Amino acid sequence: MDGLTVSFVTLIITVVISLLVAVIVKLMTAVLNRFSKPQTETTPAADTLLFSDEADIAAVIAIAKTLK
Amino acid sequence: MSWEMFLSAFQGIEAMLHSSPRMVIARFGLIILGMVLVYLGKKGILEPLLMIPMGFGMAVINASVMMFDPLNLHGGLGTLFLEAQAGSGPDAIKNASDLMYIMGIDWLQPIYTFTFSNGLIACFVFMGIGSLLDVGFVMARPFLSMVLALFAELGTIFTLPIAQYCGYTLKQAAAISVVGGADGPMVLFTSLKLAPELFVPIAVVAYLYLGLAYGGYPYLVRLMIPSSKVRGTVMPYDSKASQFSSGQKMVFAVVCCVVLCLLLPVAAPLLFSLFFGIVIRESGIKQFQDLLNGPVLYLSTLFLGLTLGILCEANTIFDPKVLPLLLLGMLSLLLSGIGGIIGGYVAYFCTGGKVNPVVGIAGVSCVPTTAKVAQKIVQKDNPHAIVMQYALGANVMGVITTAIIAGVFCSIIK
Repeated sequence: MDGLTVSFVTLIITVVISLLVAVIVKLMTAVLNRFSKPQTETTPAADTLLFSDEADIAAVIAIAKTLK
Repeated sequence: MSWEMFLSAFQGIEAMLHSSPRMVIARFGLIILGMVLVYLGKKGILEPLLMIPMGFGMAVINASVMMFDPLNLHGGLGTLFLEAQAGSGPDAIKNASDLMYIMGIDWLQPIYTFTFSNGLIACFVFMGIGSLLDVGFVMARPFLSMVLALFAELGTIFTLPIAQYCGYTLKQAAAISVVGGADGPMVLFTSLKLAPELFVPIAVVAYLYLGLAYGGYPYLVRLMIPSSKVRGTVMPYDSKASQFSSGQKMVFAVVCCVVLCLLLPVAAPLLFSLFFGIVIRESGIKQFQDLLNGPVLYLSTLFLGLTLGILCEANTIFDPKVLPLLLLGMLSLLLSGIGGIIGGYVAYFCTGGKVNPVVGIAGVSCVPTTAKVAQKIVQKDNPHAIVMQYALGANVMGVITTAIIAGVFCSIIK
């Protein structure tokens, strides 16, 4: 094989594989977006809320234990 | 004190006297070039991470030649740093004994033998680079990134037949043309696989020019995109890249790596290293992230630069086969830059002027240098234009495209 042929064959294969990668990315993105859970943005306020919820639950459990 | 005693006391001078005048001039030239590289690295004109160890190594190795050649390879002259040709003969038993012997003498030989000649250092650098890459930019715009990256492979594709025309074998021509992919580890890997006899000069030329690309590409962009209005085209802010979760990016990296390794097993070590870095980045394992983008990346870059500098001994560099390589390497990178900008223009016209053509230069991988170059040029003409996220997409895709081409070369050229 001479250089020109190798270059041409490489170009074709590279275009096909790159296209395949791009298609895989598109498909995967679509599928993942369809089935994955929506991302929850955790703001400091939300963190505090979560923390206060957990603290409340822990407090209730602690109270329940003492009552027992 | 006799003259012989004086010479045996100062072996560097004795070695100079035993060399041809041409070689003595070449050695002094390389010592000065090494010092210039250190200076340019310190000034930030060239990439300091590579150029300071490389330039220092280059200057010192050419001053350290002495009357010492335990394997009888260089007519009585050698150094105590490393012997690149040790173990490269046809006799496997002699190779093994030569390597064991020289490893007990040359202090950098273990690094060269165990990390360079098998491509391990290239894989380590790729793991480090992978751990810095955000594939969200590619996932947000895969087709645009792909088009820009493919156009930016113009140098790789066209330099191969030109190099073959210049008298190199097909394997050597392919190894030289990969310089156009502007990806150091890929160049190391391909030249080791296809043309180990040219590995040293190809690697040196590639890294030297990659350092120059940072300073040279802005001129090329301004030459090919003369209108400052076009260069300053504002691209809409796209928040798509940040919408992908780390889990989605990990799935992309794993699936993409498996598919590419299935298609191109020859390039699997490099592909695996790159995507492994990406997976570690997205995994959230902070200890591994810190290890890869800290010690692994910087230690391998340090030894890469240092060893490349040490390999720049005048005897190796001033081989008649090496000189055309200097021109071919430059041509390859130049063509890739031109191709990238043509790709940028294609995207600009196809989208009705929505894509800034300067982004095309980022298709020439060299992560993240060319993306930074694109942003710097654009911001100079329009301080409000931000193209970094588009440029990084093309940049990451450029690495993948170069890996594909390297894999195809290694697979089809027997």
